[in-house]
Amino acid sequence: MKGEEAVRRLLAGEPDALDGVSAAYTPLLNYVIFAILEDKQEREECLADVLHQVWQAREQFDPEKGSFTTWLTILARNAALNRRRAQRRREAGRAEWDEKLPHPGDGPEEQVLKAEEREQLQQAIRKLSHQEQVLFYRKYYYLQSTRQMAAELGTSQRAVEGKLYRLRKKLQKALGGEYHG
Amino acid sequence: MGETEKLDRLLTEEAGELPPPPEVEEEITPWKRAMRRIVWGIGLTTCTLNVWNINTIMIMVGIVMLWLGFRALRRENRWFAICWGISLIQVVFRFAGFILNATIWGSEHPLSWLSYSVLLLPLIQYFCLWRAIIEVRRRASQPPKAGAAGALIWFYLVLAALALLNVQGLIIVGTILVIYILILRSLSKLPHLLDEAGYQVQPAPVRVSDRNIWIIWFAALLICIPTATLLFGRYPMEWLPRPEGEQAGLEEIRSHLVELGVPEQVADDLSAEDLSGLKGALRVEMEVTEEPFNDGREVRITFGRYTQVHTEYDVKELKATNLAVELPGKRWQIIHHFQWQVQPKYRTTECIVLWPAARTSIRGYQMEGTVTGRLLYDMDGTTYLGDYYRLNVEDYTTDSIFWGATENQWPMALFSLPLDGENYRGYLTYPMSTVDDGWILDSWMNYTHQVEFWNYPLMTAEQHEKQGLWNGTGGFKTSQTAIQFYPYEN
Repeated sequence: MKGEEAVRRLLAGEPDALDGVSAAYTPLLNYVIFAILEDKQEREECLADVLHQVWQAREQFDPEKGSFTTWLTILARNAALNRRRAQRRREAGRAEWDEKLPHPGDGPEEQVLKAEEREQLQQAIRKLSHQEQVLFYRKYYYLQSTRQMAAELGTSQRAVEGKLYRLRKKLQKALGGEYHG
Repeated sequence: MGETEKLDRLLTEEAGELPPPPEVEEEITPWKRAMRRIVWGIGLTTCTLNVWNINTIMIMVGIVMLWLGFRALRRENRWFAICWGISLIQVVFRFAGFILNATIWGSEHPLSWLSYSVLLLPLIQYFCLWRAIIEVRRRASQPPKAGAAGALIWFYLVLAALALLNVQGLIIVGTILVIYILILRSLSKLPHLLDEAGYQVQPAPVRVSDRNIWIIWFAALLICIPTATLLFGRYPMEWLPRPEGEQAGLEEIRSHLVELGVPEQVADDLSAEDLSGLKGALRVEMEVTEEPFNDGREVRITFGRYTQVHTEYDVKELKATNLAVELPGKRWQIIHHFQWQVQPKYRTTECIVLWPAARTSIRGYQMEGTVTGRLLYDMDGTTYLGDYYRLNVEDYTTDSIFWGATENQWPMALFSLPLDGENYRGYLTYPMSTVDDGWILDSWMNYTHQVEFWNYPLMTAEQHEKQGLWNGTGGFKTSQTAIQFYPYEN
């Protein structure tokens, strides 16, 4: 309830509301950030970034599109991923990493292709069972490690790997077995 | 880049554009699964329904749910670790209890120190759970409060006090219902105590998955419970071959009894001591009945507009021979003999209760000794003898909705039939004398036998008898036979 009150005040633009949001949602933000970033300092900086973004972008939050926690999760995930990309770029050298990133200059043809792929994937995800969807989002949205997933699902890492293998096969089949990554 | 990595990369990129739907997002937390198990575990082990075997199943499931829930959180803080330790002890205790319940000793132990400690353990566990949640909240810089968990301690305390004081009656039923509702209300609030702070919880990794734990638990119960019933669901009986020529020298008495009407089988089965006690018998009165221990079959006979429905028994498993042998000096020796005519389907525990002719409600007779008897069966041409597991006069109270509480004091014989052999039989006998002429001689044999497969928690025939359950209910059936006659014309 306290969190909800802080969100209401934040959206109303009350300057001290961010403290309340921070107190209530730091565990959630950390939960998302910790799965993506390993370095302690990076994590702390990322959290500070996200809280700053929350204040800056508060007017962009649209309750009709999703809950506040979903919005927070998106901010935290993107911020953590950006940091991880930057960190890897520094470590591995820009040229090598650029190969793995989606090319910024995708032409109109590739963009149409990607949109089709996304539509196909959405359909495939919708066809997954609830448990499979949970596993999919843990792995590909929250980017959780097998170890973390196993601990939270009360199973062994081997069992999680097996389930992920079957999930991949299912999605691969649904996507026609071809990727344009 | 391999195919798997390519697919993973694509899915990671695309997933960023597809945030999880709310019902999936709700599931992705580090504590909800564990807390849900704890809540269900507490609910199933605390608010039990004492109907059929539902309470046993609730506890079987609930105790493991509790353990699995606390297993995931055991490294979060020391209070959760204690909760986990307690739940492990509870699992061990309960497992032992489930096994014990499959034996004849299952309910022979009244509330002991062990039972008190089993009652106390959840109380300590709820206290630790309360502290554990406060600890998580404190670490997340949230107010260190956990009212719902604290309330649980008080409600359980009241529940335990009511159980220990053994309070009975309708008021207690109402009180317990109210407490159950309060406990369930607290439980429903429990997971929300961690709504925000719970994200920092880090479940401990496990070597054996929850699924495998469930499989192991139920496999162990499925193996151990029937094994315990097979090994210890019967009274330990001692059988010895019948000595050769046991009735030697008593042939005259035996043949005289047979002449008076005693069946050959009954005369054969009597011990030398019992047979010699019948020397000089004056007359024999006898009633032979064949009693079914099955449900029979329904027979419908239609006469015009009317249909008569009755049950016919093609097999009558037990032959009961009830005899009164008159001896000089207005003395009587009553013999209640039984014989299995077919192989019994279930051989767990048997109970025979006698309502002797010399009882307080019937004047005219007095007991002249105690009830004695023995058991016999045949195997490979040899007759084996055995004593009853227990044969004495039992004091017990039965409750009936028709007659209320009834004080009983009857001779009771307990035994188990052997697993091999055939022609199982035995008898109970007692001496008495006539004090006053003109009274009916009325002596009953009540033979209780298990007739249904399902018997868990194991109930013995003795317990069935002592609980005064309606005949045919509770998996047992009682055959009631008697000898009734007026010995003297005037």
